[in-house]
Order: sequence, then C-alpha cells, then structure tokens
Amino acid sequence: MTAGRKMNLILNIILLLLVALCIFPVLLTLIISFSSSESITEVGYALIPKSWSLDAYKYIFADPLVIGRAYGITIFNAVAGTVIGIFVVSLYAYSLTIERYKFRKFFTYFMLVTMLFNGGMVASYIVNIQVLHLGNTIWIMILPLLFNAWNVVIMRTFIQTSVPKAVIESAKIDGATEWRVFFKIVMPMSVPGIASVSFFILLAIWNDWNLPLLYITNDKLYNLQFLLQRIMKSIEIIKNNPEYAQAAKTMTAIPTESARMALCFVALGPILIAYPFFQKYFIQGITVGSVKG
Amino acid sequence: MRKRLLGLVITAVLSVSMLAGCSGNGTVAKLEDPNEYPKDTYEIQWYLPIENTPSDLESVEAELNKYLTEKINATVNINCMASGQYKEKLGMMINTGEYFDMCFVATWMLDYVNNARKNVFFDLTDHLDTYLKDATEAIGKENLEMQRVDGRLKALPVYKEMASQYGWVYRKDIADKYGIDMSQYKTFEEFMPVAEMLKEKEKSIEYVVDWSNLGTPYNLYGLIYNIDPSGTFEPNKVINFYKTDEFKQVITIAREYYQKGLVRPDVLTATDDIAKMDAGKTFAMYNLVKPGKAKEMFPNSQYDFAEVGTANIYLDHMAGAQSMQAISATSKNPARVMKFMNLLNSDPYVKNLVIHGIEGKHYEKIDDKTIKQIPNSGYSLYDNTWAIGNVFLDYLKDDENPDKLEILKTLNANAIHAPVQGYVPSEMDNKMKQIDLDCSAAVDKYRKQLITGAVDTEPTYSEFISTLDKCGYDKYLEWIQNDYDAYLKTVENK
Repeated sequence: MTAGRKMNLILNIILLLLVALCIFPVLLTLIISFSSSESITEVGYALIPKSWSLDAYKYIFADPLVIGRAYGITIFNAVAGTVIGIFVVSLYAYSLTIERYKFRKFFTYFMLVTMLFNGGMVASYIVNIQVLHLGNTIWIMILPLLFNAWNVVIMRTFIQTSVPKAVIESAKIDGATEWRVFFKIVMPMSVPGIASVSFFILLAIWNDWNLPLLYITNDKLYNLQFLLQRIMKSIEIIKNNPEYAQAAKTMTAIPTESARMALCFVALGPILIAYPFFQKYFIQGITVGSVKG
Repeated sequence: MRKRLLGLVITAVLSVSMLAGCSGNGTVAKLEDPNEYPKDTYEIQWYLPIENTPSDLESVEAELNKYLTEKINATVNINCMASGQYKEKLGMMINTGEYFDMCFVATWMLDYVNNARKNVFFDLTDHLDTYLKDATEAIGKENLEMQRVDGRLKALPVYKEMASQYGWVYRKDIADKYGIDMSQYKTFEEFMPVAEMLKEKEKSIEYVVDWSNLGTPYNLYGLIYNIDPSGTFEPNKVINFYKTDEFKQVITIAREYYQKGLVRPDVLTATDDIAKMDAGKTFAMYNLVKPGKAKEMFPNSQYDFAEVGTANIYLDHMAGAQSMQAISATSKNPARVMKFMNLLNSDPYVKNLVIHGIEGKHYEKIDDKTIKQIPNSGYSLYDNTWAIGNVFLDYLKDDENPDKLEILKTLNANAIHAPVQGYVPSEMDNKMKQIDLDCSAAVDKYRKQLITGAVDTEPTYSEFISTLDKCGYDKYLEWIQNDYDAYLKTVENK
C-alpha cells in the first residue's frame, strides 16, 4: 500500500514537472508581451521584468481594423473550413467502408498515393493560380487544407469499428436512402471521430501561414498567423542583409520583441479556449480510429 | 479499361499543367515605336518590397495613372508586400513563369545574377538609347557598366550612392567628455588604448565596441579587394585572402578585443546591437557611414550620436546591383514598361509622386527641392526611395541636410575604382559548382567565429585552412584566376 502510494507520489511529481515544462514557455511569452522594451534590452527575458508596460498591445491594437480583419478572416476560414472539411472527409471515408461500392479500391489507392507523393510547391502553385485562378481569394486558404488522407484513414477506421453493419442494413430495410443513412445513422454514431478529425482540420487552418504567403497579396485578406509570420520573415531577411536594414531603415518599422510576443498570444488565445471542448472526444476518437489503421 | 482511363486522366492533367507552365514564356511581340503615342492602354503590374503598405495607395495610383495615361497611355498597379513575403512570392512567380511586369531585384533579393542568367528578366541592353534614353542620360552610361551579367544588362540600377566608406558611429557625449577624436583612429590597433581606458572609466556603457552586426576589424581589409568566397584580388592576381598575414592580424586583434572584454561576450549570436546602442549601452560601432548616418540610425534616441568616416572610399562591388528594377520576361508589353521605367528615373514629377504622394494631400512644398510631410496622411514611400528609382530626383524632407544629394554625388565621384568591382564569375560547370559550394560552406562555418574573435584563434584557424584545402580551394582560385583574366581582357577592349 505505502509502496503504491510512494509510486503515486513520484509519478505525480514527474507529471507536474512535465506540466510545468509545457506551461513555462507560454507563461514566459505572456510575461514578455507585458514587459517594457527597456527592460528587455537591459535584462533580457525575465519572469519578473524591471517594469511592466502595455505598449505591445497598444501597438497591435493601434490599428484595430487590421487585427480585427485578420481575426475575421481566420475565424471564417477555420469555421467554414472545418464544416466543409468534415463533410468531405467523412463522405469519402464512409464510401470507403461500403463493401459493394465499385470504385472502393480505386479511391483507396487514389487517396493513399497522396500520402506518399505530392506534386511539390511549384506544381500546385501553377495549378492553383493559372488553372483554378484561386490567387487572392479567401478559398485558397480553405480548399487545399480540406482533404487530408490521414484524416480519412482515421475516419474510415472509426466508422468501420463503431458503426455496426447491422444498423445500416436495418435502416436500409426500413427504406432509408443513402443520404439518410449517412446523416441520421453514420454521422451521429461517429461523433468522437468527427470531433477529433475536425480538430485536426481546425488546427491546420488556424495555424496556416504558408498559403497566404504564396497566394495572397491583398492585405485585406491576410490572416492572423500570416501577420505574425510576416514580421518574423522580414526580421530574418534583415538579419541576413545588414546593409539592407541600414539602407532601408527598416528596423524602425519592425515591432519590438514584446510586440511579437503579444501578437503570438493574440493568435494563440481562441484555440486555447477551444481545446477543452474537443478534448472530451479527442482521446477516444484517435485511439479507436487508429487501432486498425 | 480502368487502367487505361487512369492513364488518360494522368496524361491530361500533366499536359494541362505543362501548357500552363509554358504559356507565360517566350511570347514577346514586336516592340512598339518608342516615340509614338500608343493607341491601347496597358496596365503595368509593379511589385515592391514595402514593409507597411501605405493606406492611401489608391489615390496616389489614380493621380499617377492620370499623368501616365496622358504621357504613354499606361496605368500602374503598385503591389506592396513585406520583404519576407516578397522574397517567397516573387521567387515563386518567377519559377512558375507567372505574368507580371516590373519588380525590385538585387544581388541579395531574388538572386539577380542567377535569375539574369536564366533569362527571367527582359534584356535591357539594346534599348538604352531608345526606350530608356532619358534614364540612361540621368544615370550616366558608365554607371550602367557595373551590374552586367555576362555582358548583358538585365535590370536598371537605382541611381544612388554607389560607394561605401567604413567609419565610426559613436556616442558623441562620451567622446566629448574624454576629449576623444574618433577620426584619427583608422585601425582597431590604434583604438585599443582608448577602448581600454573607456572600459575602465566610463561605467554607463556595457561594451565599448559592438560588432555583432559584423562591423569587425575584418572590414578594414575586406572591403578593399575581397569578393567572398571568390578569393582576394590584388590588381591582377587572385590570392587566398585567408592565408595572408593581414587575415591573421585581423583575427588576432579581434580575439584580443574579445578577451579583454571590449566587445560583448555574446557577439557571435546577438542581434540587438542597434537597440543596445540606442539605449546608450555601447560606445561605438564600426559601420558603413555616410553623412547623417547616426541621425538615420537612431532618430529617437535620448543620447547624442555622431559618425566619422575613416577608411578609404571604395566603389561597391557591382555598384548599383544592391538595388534595381527589372522587367519580367513574362511582361505582355515590355516596351510600355520601359517607357514607364524611363519616366520613373528621369521625370521628377513621377518619382516624387511615387515616394511622397500628392502635393497638398500628403505633403506641402516648401521650396523647389524641399517638402514637409503632412503627418498621418496615409502615404509616404520615402523610406523606400533607394529601391524605387533615381534618388537624385527626390525632393528632400525639411529636416534633412539640404546638401544631402550633393554630398552623395561627391562620394560617388571620389570613390576608388577597380576593375574587379564589375567582375561577376561566369557560370561554372558542375564540378566547379560543387567546389564552390563546399568552400562557401567552410567559409560560412568558420569565418564569423574567427573574425568576431569569439573562439580560440589558433585551433579554429588551422581547422579552417585545412578544410578549405580539402575542399579544393586552390583549384577554385585557379579557375577564378583564368575567368578573371578573360574578364580583364573584355574590359580592356572596351
């Protein structure tokens, strides 16, 4: 009994340490975003800065339209993308579970090929811009992230294991159409799977800055992560070309360390809040989905 | 059957994308007459790296287009992007042959030399006397010789200061307090006793010198001959700079400064050099200077800064190639774009409209050559004038030195010319390219450590030299020597 207790205590301490390891960077980011820039140049990053300041947030919200618009774009992308994405993924996954479906094998391989090979950036750029004309539209930030073979595999396995064939058959006997079976039987029975897959899609869209970097030049369509990434990229260029920084005086246009951290936090916020809501289904969804991957 | 269908689909997809990939290239129609007013309007898509897009860009574009329609029947659409995005996006557009008309390019942005070789830019060499006549006159023919790649001019340089001088940027209040005249310290060896004295006595500063932006003793020698990593060019001979006594001297003195604590201990990785100096923590930096430099670097500091040039003035390598405007090979009407480029570099109205905006709305004119910006007017690209076009057309701001442009002209005129400054190594075969890459990697790995003095000199230096030898640096230098000789012949023949 005491041995078990001791073990428990040790485990708890280890887990607490792990938690601290996860929380510490976030906490530090938050504190730096509230530090004054003098404090950062003088003592560097510190948990208790010399002086506090709200300058960073004032800088970010000085033009509330910019950050507000970016928020709007990101939220629209995330919501629309998740809804459409889950629809696409679960339809695809469901059809792969139906044994009498004629093209089942073909579509399985069609999907698996995308897991192993892809056309590369240049090819997809040409298709998106010159064939599909998606440059500078909001759809370019949504459509490429909707379908992901890994998500389909999780979803397919989930449907296979948690929706018994008998249920579907009985619905058929009662005269339900394919659509009705899908929406009334399959979807409600695979909520945990849907929750985890939609969380994957949500995260992918929320964190994406690569698509706007290549496809969006209209500053009204910039999303939140890209605003942050744009600053980081510019700093990188300036660092590698000191002459450029001197010629351009660009240093003054780049926000301070604290403003960057503040921006990071602003972009992080909503997803932190969303996470616990998904968590309930999360573990269940993935474990069941991955058993017979 | 199914397999054949699949094959068909794949073939179709592939051929569509190939067609799309090619459609941008190679369709340059016959150029229109340079002097005639064209009948159709053409919209020029112009891309610029601008950190913050001005909010009132539209009204300036409208005003500019009114003028341009009258003059050359063209309109301009200015696309601004932050430099980080600009690099990725334009790189992608160039790689995929996407249509655009005009863009900013430099040796350090969009890889001018290699892209010029790949013919992604429209060749301007034969049009300097026709479409670009006024611009050529304004810039001066001799200034268009310095950025040619294999003898061809693929982009028009922005005419600005084309020479560099190293010198000190320092805290004037401290220098005055101790009666230090920085202009007499031409080397770091001479400056050493002063630096030690300051470290001893002046407690308000953390470091005497900060060279984390690479303003190291190396620059005293580096600027004169060196083109990295191609070797060092004595008048007609290519030598291995890293094996010379000068280089040893450079790293020894840097190490001495480091060991005595005269530079910061984290000099190898620090990036906040400007912020630190702005906060008064550093006494001096060894930097590229020009008149007004200190004011430009620290506009809002509470301390008093000054600059003084101490080294000789040298014309930059590929002077002008630090900042250029190029026309894309995918442009549908390069002639019209050249006409616009011509105006941008010779017509003060066009240039000042682009950088300052509209008179009365974005700035007030004080006299012929001076303006006062209207605060929060939503437009100014004046900070980017060095990237846009001929800076000698600019109206100056009221708080600038009114003689600034004259001073820059004198700087250009006084600069020391050497044939090597126009030399660009020709294209290498694969074997040479590999040696080049290996040597560059070795230089990247060791040079910064050595010249900042952050590591122990002796073991690192011998390691560096032996790595270079192993990479085949001698073969490389031999190749460069041959190539350079050939280049010198073409220069003499001109």
